[in-house]
Amino acid sequence: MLARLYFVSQSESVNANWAEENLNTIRCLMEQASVYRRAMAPVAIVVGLIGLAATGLAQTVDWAGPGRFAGYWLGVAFVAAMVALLLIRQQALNSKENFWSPPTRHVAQAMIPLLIAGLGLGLLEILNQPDARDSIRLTALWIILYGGALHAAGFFMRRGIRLLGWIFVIIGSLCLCFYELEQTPWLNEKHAHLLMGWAFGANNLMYGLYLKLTSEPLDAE
Amino acid sequence: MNPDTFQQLDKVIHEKSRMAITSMLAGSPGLSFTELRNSLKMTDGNLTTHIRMLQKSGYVSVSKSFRENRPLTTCALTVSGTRAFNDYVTLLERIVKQAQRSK
Repeated sequence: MLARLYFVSQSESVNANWAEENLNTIRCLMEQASVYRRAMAPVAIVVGLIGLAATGLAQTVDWAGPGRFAGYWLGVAFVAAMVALLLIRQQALNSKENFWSPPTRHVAQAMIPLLIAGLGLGLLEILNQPDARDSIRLTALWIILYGGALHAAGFFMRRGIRLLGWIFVIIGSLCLCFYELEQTPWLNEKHAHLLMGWAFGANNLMYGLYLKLTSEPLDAE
Repeated sequence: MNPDTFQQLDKVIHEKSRMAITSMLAGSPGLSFTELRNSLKMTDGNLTTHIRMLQKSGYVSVSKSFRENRPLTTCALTVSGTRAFNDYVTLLERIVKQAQRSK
C-alpha cells in the first residue's frame, strides 16, 4: 500500500514537472514566433539611399557649418522615417496582415525612447546660440542613440540588428572621444554632413545589401 | 491530482512536434513552411505529415501563393485550432496548479 502511494505521489510530481516543462517550451516557441519578420532589406536600402542623397545635396549646396545642420538632418530623418513606415505598411498589406501587429508594436516601443532623445538633442541644438552649436558632437551623439535604438529593437528582430546597433554605438563613441580629445583635426564642421552620410547613409545601405544578398529562399517545400 | 485532467488533453496537439507547430503558429498570425521547418529543425516530410494531421483536424489552414516568383506555403491556426491550443495550455496550467496545491 505504501509502495503504491509512493508511486502515485512520484508520478504526480513527474507529471507536474512535465506539464511545467511543456508550458515553458510553448512560451519559448511563441516568443520565437512573434519576432518582427518584415523584410528589413528594402527599408535599410531606402533609408541608406536617402541618407546618401541628403549628404550629396548638403555638400552640393555647401551647407557646411552648424547653422542649418540640426534642422536639415531632423527633416531628413523625418522623411526617412515616413518612407520606412510606408514600406513596412506596404509589406503588411501585401501579406494581408495588420500593420500595427504586436511585433511591430514591440519594435516601435523599443526604439522610440532613444529616437525621442535624439530629437530632443536636435531641437536643443536648433535653440542654441549659433556659436554654441557643434555639429560633430551632435552627429556622434545621434549615432550612439540610433545604435542604442537598433540594439533595443534587436531583441524583437532577427538577422544581426543588435550587432548593427553595437557598430553604431562604437562608431559614435569613438567619434565623440577622438573629437573631444582633439585627436582628429579632419573631424570638423566642414565634414559633419559627410560623417552623417557615412554613418546613416552608407552603413544602412551596406546592411540592407547584406540582407538582400544573404536572404534565404522563401519556400523550399 | 485529478486523472481526468490528463484524459482531457487534446491528443492531436499533445504530440511533441505538433505541440511545437501549434505553439509557433499561436505566436504569429501566420508562418511560412520554411520558417516553421527551420525554426523547429524538422525535415520537410516530417513537417508535412504533422501539418496534414493538424489540417485534417481543422486546427491549421494552409494557403499557397507566390512571392517574388517563388512558391510560398503559409500555415496559420484556424479559430478552432486557436481554441484547442488555448484549452490545451489551460489544462497544462491546471495540472501544474493541482500539483502545487497537493504539495
